Amino acid sequence: MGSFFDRPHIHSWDRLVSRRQFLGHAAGATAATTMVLGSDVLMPRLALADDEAASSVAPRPIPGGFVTPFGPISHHFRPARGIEASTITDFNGVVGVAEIEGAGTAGDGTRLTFGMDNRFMVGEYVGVDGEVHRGAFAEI
Amino acid sequence: MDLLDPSGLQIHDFNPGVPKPPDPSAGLFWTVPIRTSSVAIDLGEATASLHLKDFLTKDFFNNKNNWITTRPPVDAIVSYTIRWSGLSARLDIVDFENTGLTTNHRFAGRFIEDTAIVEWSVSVPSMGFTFHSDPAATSTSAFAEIGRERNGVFFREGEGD
Repeated sequence: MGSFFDRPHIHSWDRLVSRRQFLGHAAGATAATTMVLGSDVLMPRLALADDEAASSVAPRPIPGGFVTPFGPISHHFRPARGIEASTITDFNGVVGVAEIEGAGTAGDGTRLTFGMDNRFMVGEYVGVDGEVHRGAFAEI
Repeated sequence: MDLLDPSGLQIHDFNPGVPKPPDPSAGLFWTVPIRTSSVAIDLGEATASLHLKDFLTKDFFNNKNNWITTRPPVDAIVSYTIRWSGLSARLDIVDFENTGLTTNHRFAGRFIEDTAIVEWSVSVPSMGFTFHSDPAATSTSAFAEIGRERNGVFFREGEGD
């Protein structure tokens, strides 16, 4: 699997989704969101992290999110079409979101089920020191 | 990463926590630095993977305890591989309004909606607890996407025009 720099830009979207469909899927979270299909405006040259060490300068959270039932603000959006995927702000890079369910076995043989919302973010970001860094992060 | 017992009760909640003030990254949601080599992505092929091995995190036991911590979390060690593949839709998204807390907030992205599967394991040494998921092929993808995103200072005014 090579770097995505090696890949051509994707120009043809094979499944168009109307704005109405889009807003319907993401109601309440994306009222200010529009889609631009087939645009190259979102394809800047992007620098990935170039070292193997984990990032040493922390990023800052996205300003958005939701108020949890317990009071504090959760600075992320639940997985769904149209959400902001990144959990860090001042970020420019590649992201992945995975909401997965399944089952497994505990050490004592008990069958358990699981659910997860895990993500990755790789690219450049402005750290808490105000400087631009490159790095990789995971939401666990 | 939530584990539920046969009755559906959440009994483990694995995450690194949320930094609190005066930490300069206060509010950062369950997000930790990883090695770049943990991620492989090929947007042309619509595939990606995230692999972590023996990664130290915390067990907060349940979601409420994440936010109102009455039971101190304990160390947990997780390993997992998530793989993204397939292609169900491609989307360009521009959020051009600074609309605040409960909405998206000035970001743009090009995303591929697809499918994700996972195989993972965890141990909680202080509790003598271990868990290993069934093979990845048995997991169910509820939502998955990969793509490019930029937000904050990297979001350009007029991008949605």
